[in-house]
Amino acid sequence: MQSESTRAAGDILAYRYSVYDLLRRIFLWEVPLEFFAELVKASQAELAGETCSSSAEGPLKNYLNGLPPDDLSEIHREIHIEYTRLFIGPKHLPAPPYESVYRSPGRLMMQDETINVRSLYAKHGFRVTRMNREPDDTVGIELEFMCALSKASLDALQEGDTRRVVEFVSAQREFCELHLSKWMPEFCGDIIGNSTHPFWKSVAEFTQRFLEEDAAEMNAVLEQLGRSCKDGDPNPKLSVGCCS
Amino acid sequence: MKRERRQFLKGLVGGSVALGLGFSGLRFLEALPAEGAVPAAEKIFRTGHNTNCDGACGHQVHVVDGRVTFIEGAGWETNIDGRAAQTFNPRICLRGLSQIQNTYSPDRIKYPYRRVGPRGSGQFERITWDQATSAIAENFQKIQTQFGRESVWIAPYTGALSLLEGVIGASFRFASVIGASAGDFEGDNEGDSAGPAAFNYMLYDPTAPANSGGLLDGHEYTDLLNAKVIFLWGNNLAETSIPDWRTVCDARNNGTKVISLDPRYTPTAAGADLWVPVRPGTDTALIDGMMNWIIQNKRYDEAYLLKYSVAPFLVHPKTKLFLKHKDLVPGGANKYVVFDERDRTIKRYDDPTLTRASLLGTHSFGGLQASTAMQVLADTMSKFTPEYAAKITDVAPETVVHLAQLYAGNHPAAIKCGFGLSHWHRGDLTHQALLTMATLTGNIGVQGGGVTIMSGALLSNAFSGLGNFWNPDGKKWVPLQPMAACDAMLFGKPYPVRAAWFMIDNYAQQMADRNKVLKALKSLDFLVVSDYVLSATAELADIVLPACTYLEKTDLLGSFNYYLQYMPKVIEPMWESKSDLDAFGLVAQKMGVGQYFQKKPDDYIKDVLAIGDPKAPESVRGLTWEQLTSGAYRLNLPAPYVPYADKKFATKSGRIEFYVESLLPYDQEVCDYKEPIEASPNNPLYQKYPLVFLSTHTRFRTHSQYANLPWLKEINNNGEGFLEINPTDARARGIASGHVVRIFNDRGWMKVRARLTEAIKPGVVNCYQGGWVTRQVKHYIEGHPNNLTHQIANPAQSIVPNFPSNAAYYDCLVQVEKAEG
Amino acid sequence: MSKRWGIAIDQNRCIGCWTCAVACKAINNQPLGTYWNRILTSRPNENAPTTAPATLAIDVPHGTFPDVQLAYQPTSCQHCQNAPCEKVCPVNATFRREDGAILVDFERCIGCRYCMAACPYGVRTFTWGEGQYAPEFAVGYGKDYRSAGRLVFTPQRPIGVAEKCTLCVERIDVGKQPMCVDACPAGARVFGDLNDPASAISVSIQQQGGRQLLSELGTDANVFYLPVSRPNKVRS
Repeated sequence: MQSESTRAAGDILAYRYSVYDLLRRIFLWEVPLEFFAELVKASQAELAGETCSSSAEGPLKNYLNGLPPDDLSEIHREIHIEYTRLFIGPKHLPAPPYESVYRSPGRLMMQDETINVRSLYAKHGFRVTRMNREPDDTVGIELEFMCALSKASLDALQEGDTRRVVEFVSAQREFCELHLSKWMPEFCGDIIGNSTHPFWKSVAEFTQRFLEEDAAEMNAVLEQLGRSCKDGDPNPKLSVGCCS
Repeated sequence: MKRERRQFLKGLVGGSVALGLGFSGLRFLEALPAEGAVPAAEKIFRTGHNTNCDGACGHQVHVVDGRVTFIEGAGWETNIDGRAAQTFNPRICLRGLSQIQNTYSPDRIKYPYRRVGPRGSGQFERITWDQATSAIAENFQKIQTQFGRESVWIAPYTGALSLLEGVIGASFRFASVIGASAGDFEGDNEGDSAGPAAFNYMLYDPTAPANSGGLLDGHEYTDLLNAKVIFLWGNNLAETSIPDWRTVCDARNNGTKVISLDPRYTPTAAGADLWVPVRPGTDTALIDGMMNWIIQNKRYDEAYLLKYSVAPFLVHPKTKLFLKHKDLVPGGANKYVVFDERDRTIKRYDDPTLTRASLLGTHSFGGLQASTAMQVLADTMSKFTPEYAAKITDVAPETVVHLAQLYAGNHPAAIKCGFGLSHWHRGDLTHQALLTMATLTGNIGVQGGGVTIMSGALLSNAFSGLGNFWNPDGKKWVPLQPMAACDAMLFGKPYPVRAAWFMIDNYAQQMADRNKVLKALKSLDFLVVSDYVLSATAELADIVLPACTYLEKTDLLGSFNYYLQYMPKVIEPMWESKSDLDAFGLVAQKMGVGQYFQKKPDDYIKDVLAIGDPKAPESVRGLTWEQLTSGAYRLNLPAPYVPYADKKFATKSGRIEFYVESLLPYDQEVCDYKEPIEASPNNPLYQKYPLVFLSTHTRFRTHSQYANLPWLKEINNNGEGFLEINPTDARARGIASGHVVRIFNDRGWMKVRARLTEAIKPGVVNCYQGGWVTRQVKHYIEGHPNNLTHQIANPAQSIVPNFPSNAAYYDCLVQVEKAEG
Repeated sequence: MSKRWGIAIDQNRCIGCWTCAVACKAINNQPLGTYWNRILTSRPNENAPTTAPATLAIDVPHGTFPDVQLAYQPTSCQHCQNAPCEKVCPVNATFRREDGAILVDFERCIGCRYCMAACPYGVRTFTWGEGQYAPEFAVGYGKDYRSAGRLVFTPQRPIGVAEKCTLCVERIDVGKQPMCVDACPAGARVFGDLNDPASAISVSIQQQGGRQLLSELGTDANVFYLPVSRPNKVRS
């Protein structure tokens, strides 16, 4: 029988998993037209003409809500072109999606931060598939890492292995504190400041706010499970609001 | 803490399970192998730097954990056969050192792109290599079907000088197998072909195909140690070929005098024993003045002239062709004739009774008077008294004499030409004059002498398999020089060019007459550009392909010195970049000729060098693969290498032809000075545009490569271009250092800040070429030096199939005025 | 007798190409804008103003066309036998090795910058904050180096300490030459033991007459400049 706290934690973990998965897809642009269409459909079904008032999710959901559901191919293409312009190239990037660019103003990749991220991936049993050919600290990959750990934590929770849930969520918190929080706000700010496309602006706003909230969520989950974990909280609490 | 079960969107749980697009798993992360990540020790690779300069340095590349951490100069080995031929120091310059910044530049083009907005608008979308190569194949095929196979122009250039990727590389193989046209190597894009054309006039049969001119047969630079005097003529090797300055200094320690002839006081001039600021474009008149002094004072080498040149051959006074025996005697042979001083008769030059041929003189035959070629030369030069030469060249008469004394009075005397001489409409004539003067003094084919444009370039000695590499199954590309290609794009003559593929080539910026070039490129139906940064040319492309830098692909460097430098792949290609060879292979596959690109780079290298073939040329005989890949070995050639040491010349006569029959239609059979096409004070245009506009090569870039690297930019005025102008000219225009000035003529204009300096001759201004003008990076305030230059071709060069035209960048007049802002 | 390491720079050969300066940046992983070695220009056989910034235009000669002259003066720490910087350091972070190298102990330096004020050559740099690097990962030597236990080189430029040319002690201590000497493409630099009269550096100073910068200040530099002399100079 699941305890109240476990169920609450499960809800949080499931949500986080779905969001990290969505965000990593968006930032890696693994968003074929069909998926985008379903995203719009689901958003419109949910809001049913209303406006979403959540400060984090609102802009994105409201944008999706306002799209004509039958004729998305042109819009989808425009979003893709803007994605290329913002994050890929071939010109100088308004929002280079690499942590190392933001961590030192040299605006270059393949730095020591890249190697630090690589070590953290390795610590948890992962490595990038294109070693030294795509930086480990690309935003989409960092989000994929968070997504993978999210899924792992959710699986562990469903198996009742609280220790491992704590392990995975703690790893996420460590990654957020050491890496994501140090650059994502500025990165999202650059998207907002350099794009006139409502999709990307709202994605950036959502990402920024979500990461802020997620810091608190991770602490909440760890606190919850710490109470139900026999050995107590194995990890000392890191500072709250690390993503701000 | 109670919470509603949250979902971002209903129905979008856990990666859209509901849509059947379940958690797709990890795309960019994978499980670490069990043993974990082990940090690698440092590895060191040896490679050659195949960039566009004479240095051809060897690099030791330090790699830690798959990243390049340092580059320094690498050592050199013996000759292939083990003989220790010479001491050759490790060499590198600031540009080689900065290659880390180049390979890891954030400006690298990472993926293939397709243009989505108007050409030049800079709007691209990312596509896959598969999509890109399909688009190229389809469009090429469509255009070739509609307009002819040659309407697709493959355009490699000198951005890389290695075998597979560079200016002699796989581009020509690809062009051959699809029947396309292709820009020839060392064509006229940079204005380098005037010198080789002249070598062809005088030392080869100019009409013979596939002939490299003096580019491949310069003296090995270490031969400068043997010279008693070195003339660095229009050459600034202290900036452009820095490691060879060491050799010049070593020679000087042995007493060699170093003369620099240049309208600018360059670092080379600053280090010389004598600097002569010649009026630009008039060097031929100076050389003619020197020759006149040499002839008048009998300081020529008579024996050499008689034996190795056409000097004693008689010239028909009416036809101006060489007089032949059959012109004198019915049924006579088609042989040259000379005047025998002993029995005072005209006879065949190979007549066994010939005692002593007359060098100078005019002799009667059949009521006509025939002069020796030497006499024709002497007569033509006779007007170039020191005073006459001085008036044209701004070199004092006593200096003209002094230079002649230095050249003729020191033997051997070496002339190293720079492209400062070649970037002129009559650059061919200047080299013709230098070769003539070298012939007069017996300096051709002599250790410590010679006229050298470049040394060892492209090692035609060693690449015996090159023909097969370029022309598999006998297929040949259609030669189309870069300047002619521009006209083909715009006017459809000699045939239309509707598509082009540029690689290692920044045509849109570095080619003369930029406004014309941009019009031409914009008129194309289809444009493909391979590059590693978004150059001005890549910005215009329909398809942009990400290229590798030299550290990311296998190749062979054999140019500018006589060493073979194997270039291993040091790191994996960054992003999705591919070598040009791979790119060609992918497109060739889709065009149905993929069988010509099945081999690996190492295999092609083995083929071209004929490794293991007992019939390989002597220069590489015995070379094993292991040897090639273990260090940089020198060809089995005497050191230092001296071309024409056997004094055998592939001309019609077998001798040095300073009298050139094929140039008669152009009034250029001997090297009589002719005015520049534009940059002469005698040109009426001079009243409007009184300044000669140079655009020389700076040490802080290699043409347009590396222009944006931080280490080089920060020591080069932060990358910002400037105009060098003499204070006399500046003051007359109210210009002070730092003022923004406008440089203009009828073809275009540009703006930069002025830098006043006494290091340039009044009447001459200079703005370093190679700065970028792209949508995002502008190294000049507005415009570009090539907005001012032109593409007027010299018809005389048309007699040389390989070098039929030349971009005369420096033969250019401008006016300068202070600009607002 | 202990070694006295020195560098002789032949101004006949130096063409101001900046290769030595870029090599120094690369081997020491210096941020943009920092020059331990900078190329100044002067009239031949005069000293360039040593406090001139690195970015002052080079290649602009003295004199009036066509009578112009120019010499290049690469300028970095002179490793003085009688070093003003060593005297003023309040914490003995700047110290002199027996073989002549003047070094900074990064673990002791408190960043007071008295040494920078004392140095008449302007060759010390101070890292105020996070520098800009390109590429960002540590290039060059890439490791810490200690001399007699003191940290005299570290691959990431430490903030708030004074730094300068280290004479590449991590290289010379294993028998190599300083990077600037190895990299010079013109062969203008000679490194060796000034206490050994037969060494190449001693011979070249003796034969060509090497001069020290600002010798009148009594710093007794270990860097010598071989004067511009044109024995083959041709009068025109």
